[in-house]
Amino acid sequence: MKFVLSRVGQALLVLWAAFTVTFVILEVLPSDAIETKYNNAGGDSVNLTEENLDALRSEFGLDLPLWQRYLQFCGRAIQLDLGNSISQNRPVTDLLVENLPPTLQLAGFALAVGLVAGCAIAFLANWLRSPLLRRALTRLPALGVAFPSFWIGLLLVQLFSFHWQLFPATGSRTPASVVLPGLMMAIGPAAILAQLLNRSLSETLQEQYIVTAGAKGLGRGEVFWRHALRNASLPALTILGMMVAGTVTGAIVAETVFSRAGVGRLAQQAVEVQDLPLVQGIVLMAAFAFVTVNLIVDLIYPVLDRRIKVS
Amino acid sequence: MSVVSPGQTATGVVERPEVGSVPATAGGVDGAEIAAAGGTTTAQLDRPSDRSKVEAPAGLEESASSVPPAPRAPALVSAAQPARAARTLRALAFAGRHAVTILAAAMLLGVVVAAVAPALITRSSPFDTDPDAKLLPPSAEHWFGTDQLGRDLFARVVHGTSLSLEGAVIAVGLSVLVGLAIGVLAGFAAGLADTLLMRAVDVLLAIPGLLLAMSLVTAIGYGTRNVALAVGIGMVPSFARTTRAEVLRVKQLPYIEAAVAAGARWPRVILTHVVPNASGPVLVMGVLEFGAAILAVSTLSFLGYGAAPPAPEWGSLVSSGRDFMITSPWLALAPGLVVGLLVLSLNHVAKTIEEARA
Repeated sequence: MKFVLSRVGQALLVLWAAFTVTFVILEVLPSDAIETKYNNAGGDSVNLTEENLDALRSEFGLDLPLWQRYLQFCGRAIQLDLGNSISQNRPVTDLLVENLPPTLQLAGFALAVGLVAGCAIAFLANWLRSPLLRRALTRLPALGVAFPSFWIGLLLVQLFSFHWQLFPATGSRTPASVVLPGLMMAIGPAAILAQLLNRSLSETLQEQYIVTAGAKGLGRGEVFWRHALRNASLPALTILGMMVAGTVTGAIVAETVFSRAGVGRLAQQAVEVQDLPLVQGIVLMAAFAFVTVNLIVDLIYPVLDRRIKVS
Repeated sequence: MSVVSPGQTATGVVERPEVGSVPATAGGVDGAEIAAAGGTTTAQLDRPSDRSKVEAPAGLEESASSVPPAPRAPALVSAAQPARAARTLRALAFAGRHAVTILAAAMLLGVVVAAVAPALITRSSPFDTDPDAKLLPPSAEHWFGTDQLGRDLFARVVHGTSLSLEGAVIAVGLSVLVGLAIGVLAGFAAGLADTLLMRAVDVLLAIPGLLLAMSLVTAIGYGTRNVALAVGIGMVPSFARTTRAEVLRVKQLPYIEAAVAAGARWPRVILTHVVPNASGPVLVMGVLEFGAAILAVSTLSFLGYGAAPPAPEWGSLVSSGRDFMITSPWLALAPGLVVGLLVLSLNHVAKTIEEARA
């Protein structure tokens, strides 16, 4: 219980600090969202005077001293009120909730594909007997790590949408539209997972107890499934949090490449118009996802591996 | 990395070391296989020369050409020629064994030349337009084809190298310096300072790299330098962690104790004993992170925060080529291919360095 509480406390601390960091980055550094919105965007139609701008700044609470704004932000954030988006004039929380479902679908699909593909590659690289195939599968993930994800996305569009016309290249309405951006997002995590799992699996297969299990007369499959894979998959669990954080990054690029609605697209647009509250809300949400998944992994790790003493 | 992380892009911070070390097993296995294969071929081909050298002083193939003239001239000729052939073959076997490494090194060399003296690689100008040669597919004349204004895409990619790499160099340089400083400080100070610094690093890790970079770019504005700065800050945590771990390891070694016992002050111990000995893994990581930084910078440029359009930055080239995906896919795909091959080469070289050090 003490362990659980301390981990939860740590997670909250990291979350608070992440919030503060984004606050500092976005508030202290010079930029003026109000001016960006009304004077640059509108062109000739709106040209506000300094007084108008000041009035707008006080409307959004941008004229208060820094520490006061910080406390205000903290207080509101606890109540899940992340302020108003400057560019869209709506509560940030509403925008996030609205854009979350398509992104969750996409991220869920990508994570599932990534997990399955990563495990399959690592498993086959150790299971197959042909040295050529084994080597090819061991090398394959290096490609997934090296090529820029936006490039992979464009390649997928070229092949599966334009050439073979199997899946739509843009949009987010039909279920089929998830496939290509999902694949694009899955490749990076799959490659990383495959590399990690492959190494831990080939290390595990050298262990004495694997030899013992084989000597006892267990079949190759049984040794693999019941002894090797179970022990080898534990280290892979630790990168789960990073994979989830990666999907936030992946979603920004994937939703831009495939013109899909979602949080990633929202983030990209928010940065373009310097909508600070919105950017802050998205960063906070991403940090929350990362911290939560890591917390869950931390908490279930001792359950899965009893050798780790709860401390 | 990554902003990307890419960097922490889709690829992150903690997994980076694995990137290099995972295929290590594979490299070892297949290296040995090819080595064995190469060994047999050379051995077989060496045999004739051995036989003809029976009268000659026993020598290795390498010295076969310098063998003193034997009484029978024909024997010498037949001895020298297979020896030379064997040497060529051995060189070929070496090349075969390290084919990937040689290709990777060639790619890196090419990129360096392109960054320093692009005119050596292509004579075409990256900015000259040619209305008669619009959207041409790749050919012998235009390796990557031409864009909507008839500009040679290969020339644009080559001339864009320095701009594209500048961002990555700044990012890695910044993160190495700051990360090294934080890591050394945390590793040495221990106690409260260590805890505080490492917690700060944890916080930076909790914000996805690309998102962190995007918030920074929101605040400080667009452009290659700003993007590089943002990417660099996002990469500090991984360097700080690696450095700290190394410092903690080196700190306990006897020669540090000896240096302290000899009366050296801490700054001197850190600068002349700890940092040089802790820098190995940081160097390998630097090469890997350089690849991650290239990916991150190009991703941010692709999203439109980097260099402004006429500049042939790689990510921007892909981004502007996107509009012609249906008719001229090479415009977007070719520059991205270069980025991918470059990062692949960097990762391979980092892996090779790591293996050589082990």
